[in-house]
Amino acid sequence: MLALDGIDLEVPDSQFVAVVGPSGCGKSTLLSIVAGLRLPSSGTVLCDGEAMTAPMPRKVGMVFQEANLLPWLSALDNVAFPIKLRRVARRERLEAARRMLELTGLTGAEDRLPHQLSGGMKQRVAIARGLVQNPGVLLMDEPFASLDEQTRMVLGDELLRIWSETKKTVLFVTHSLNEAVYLADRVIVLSARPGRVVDDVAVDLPRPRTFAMTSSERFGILKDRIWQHIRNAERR
Amino acid sequence: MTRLRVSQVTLYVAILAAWELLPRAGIVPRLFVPPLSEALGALALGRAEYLGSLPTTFGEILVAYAIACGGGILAGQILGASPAARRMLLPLIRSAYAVPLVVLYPVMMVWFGLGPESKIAFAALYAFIPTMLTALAGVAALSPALAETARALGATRAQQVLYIALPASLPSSVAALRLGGALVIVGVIVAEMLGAGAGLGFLITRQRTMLDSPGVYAGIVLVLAITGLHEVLLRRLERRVAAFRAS
Repeated sequence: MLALDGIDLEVPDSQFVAVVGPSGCGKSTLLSIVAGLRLPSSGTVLCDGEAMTAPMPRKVGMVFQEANLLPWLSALDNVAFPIKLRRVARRERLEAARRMLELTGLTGAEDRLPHQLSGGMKQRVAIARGLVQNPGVLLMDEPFASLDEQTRMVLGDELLRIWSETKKTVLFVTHSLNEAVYLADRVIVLSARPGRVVDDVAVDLPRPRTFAMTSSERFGILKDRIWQHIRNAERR
Repeated sequence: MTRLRVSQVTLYVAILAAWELLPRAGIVPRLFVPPLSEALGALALGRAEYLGSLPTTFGEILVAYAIACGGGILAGQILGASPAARRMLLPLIRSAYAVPLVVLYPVMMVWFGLGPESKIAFAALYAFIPTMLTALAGVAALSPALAETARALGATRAQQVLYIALPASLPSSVAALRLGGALVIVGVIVAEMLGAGAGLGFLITRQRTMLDSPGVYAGIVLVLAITGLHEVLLRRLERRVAAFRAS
């Protein structure tokens, strides 16, 4: 079955791109192809001009819907895990992990095991783990979907802070139109399966984004434009 | 002491008291169950012989344990990692599991003789399949999300096994050890009872043919002690695994 069709997308450095679309339109498939976890049946993914045919964690970090932390490792060791795979010396990797936990606001929770962390803290650890190798690109597959509303809003702001501090290129898949418009510079709207790009919306809200903007007229117009596409796709 | 602990201790004491008092009161015939004190008396009286049988039995248990659990856990890991091997072998293994393996013991005696070798072979074979299936269940339950995460983080196949599959399957390996150990103890004692010249099972059978009930129960007390020891060691290991942390 064809999941995606004719996707042609170029993302400049440091851009925050959200991908939305009706359920089952292949958003997650797109992300796992970009991550090099799956190969497309045709076409290529280039990252800095290099083809992604296998995961390249040093260039592309990944955060999933579930934090997927290793349950037997502390928060610190979980963050250090990707560089442990590259045989970075223990002291060096723990230091890098500690810096990432500080960046994601988890100082003090280094030694806790995943089951001792709240859902929001687990996702912070997952983000820290995605950033620990200092990749240029961060792929996020509905990272806040399993969190409650408040935690999701707090983490959204945290993500924007981290993004503005680190200047990563972010590809962020989400179900939430609010989240997409609030966070992104640009929202890619996919059609129903097979997913095609039906709209490419530039979000011209100023930064830093604030909660008040979510009730502004401009925010509503942008959200409405995206919603029309999704509703049409769901109807068909 | 917590209330739970008090009730547990009370239960143990009640069982031991019943063991002592019911035969004495004539409610249970002494030939079937002699009072606890008589069993302990027989154990004290024949201690040289009973304790002398332990090295044989322990040795057989240890070797069979190593074969059954080492091999069983390893085979479980391999089958867990290879869907093709699983599809091919699992139906065969499951049907083999249904065979009462004790029918093979006479054959084992022909192959390996009356000595410890036939006991080891039988007990190891008896425990192998259940141990393997328990270990396999743990590997199969490994979350595919963790494996995919590791892959996205750039883990090689060897690293996926070393850092994800092995630690994730540690609890089920301990469960496999618990089951395998219990079955090996059963296997060795049964094999000794069916045909042997030494060991605890042999002593129990010999006393039984002489209608020496206290002597039989003295042996049973020692078997209980062995399974109790196994239980204590396994609990310790389980606690270690619960707190297990790789770094």
